[in-house]
Amino acid sequence: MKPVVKIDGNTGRLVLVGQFDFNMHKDFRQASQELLDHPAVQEIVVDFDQVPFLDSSALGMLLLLKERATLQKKNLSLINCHDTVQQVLEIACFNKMFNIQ
Amino acid sequence: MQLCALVSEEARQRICEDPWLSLFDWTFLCDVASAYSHAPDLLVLEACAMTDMPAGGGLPAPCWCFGADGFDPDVSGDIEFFGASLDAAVLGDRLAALLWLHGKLVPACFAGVPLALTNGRLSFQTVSRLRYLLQMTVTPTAEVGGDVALYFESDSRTLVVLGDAIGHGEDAALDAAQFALGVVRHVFPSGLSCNSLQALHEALLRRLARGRFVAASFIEFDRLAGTVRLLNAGMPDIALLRPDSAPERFPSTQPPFGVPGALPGDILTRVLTAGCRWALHSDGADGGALLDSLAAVDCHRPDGRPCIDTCRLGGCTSVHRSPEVADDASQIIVCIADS
Repeated sequence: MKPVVKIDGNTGRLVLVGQFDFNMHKDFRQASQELLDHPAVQEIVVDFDQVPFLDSSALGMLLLLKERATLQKKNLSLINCHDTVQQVLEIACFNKMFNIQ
Repeated sequence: MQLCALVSEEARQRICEDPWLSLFDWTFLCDVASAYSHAPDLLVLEACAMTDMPAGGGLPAPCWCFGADGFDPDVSGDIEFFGASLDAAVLGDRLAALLWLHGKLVPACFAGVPLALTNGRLSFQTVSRLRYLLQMTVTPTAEVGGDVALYFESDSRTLVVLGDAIGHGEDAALDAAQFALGVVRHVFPSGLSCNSLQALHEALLRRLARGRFVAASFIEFDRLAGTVRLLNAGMPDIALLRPDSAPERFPSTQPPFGVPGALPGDILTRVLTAGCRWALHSDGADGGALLDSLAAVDCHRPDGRPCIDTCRLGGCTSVHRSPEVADDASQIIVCIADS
């Protein structure tokens, strides 16, 4: 399913729905671009509450989003990660590079 | 292979003067639009030259775009962006890897170093020596994939490496080939060290497209020093099964290679002990099933001395795919018969 974008003040929330893998590439890019382009958004929050699993392609998409957010001086954080998602992020040591709540 | 390039005059000169790159059939373009009439196998671009690309427009061929740090156009199609500027060495390595994947280059000569490399569909290799037994199994989901198993041996050292490039299929295989090339050049000659791993990381930062990386586990057996040195960068736990004690696990201590800003992790050292079994696997394989089957292997002769032989490994050689994911699945098992 397509990610859902919610904007509240200076926070833009990207709610991912379903398995986060290469099949979500185009929708993820479009949705995240909407937040990157929004002038009021300073904090980008990626919500994993409805994500049961992510693969290495998803990690690459997160890296690119982080790169784009940094270029635009916007903060990025990942929230509501379930154990399976948390585990993949930890194996890749992304917990050292991303703000994960 | 028909290559088209839309690059600066300086880059064009670098390509034409390079002994390897100049062997290819190049057509140098003045604009992206003219590439459509040539129908190349690959389009090489510099970001600074992409001024006439329409938003959302497609490309006539797979494309590598260099000097694209922060450059993020809305382009559809098979395009990869590299932060590094167009460099003859980087472009040459990627083309060598691409040719190799297409069966147009002899793999034994890859990087000028003979090596055992396992990457194809259902690849399987056993290396049996007096002192150890090594089994490498790689099972990609497609014809080729991002998992690669490497094995190098010198007089006193044996290095085994399991790499897992992001994604699946040919793109992942191309990254895996870049990784293999980097290991051959930077890690094997001087051994596993912070410096050699840093050199590998820097090489991959330049050679992999933005957002791409390779996770890897390394184990180096040094018979002269009597040690085992290991590093896990973004892979599932490396496992050590000793004959008479509980298994020990070695989790990832650093991000995968090629991730910007990644800090080198710790290289751990253990004593090289007879009867030990080491297991590495990629995230597409079921690590629990691997350990269960490996734990069932009897590593002792009737007189109690350690012993490993090929037939005793039996079912351990099968890769048990992880039930949750459809991913390339690979494993390496090393059994130490004599320290």
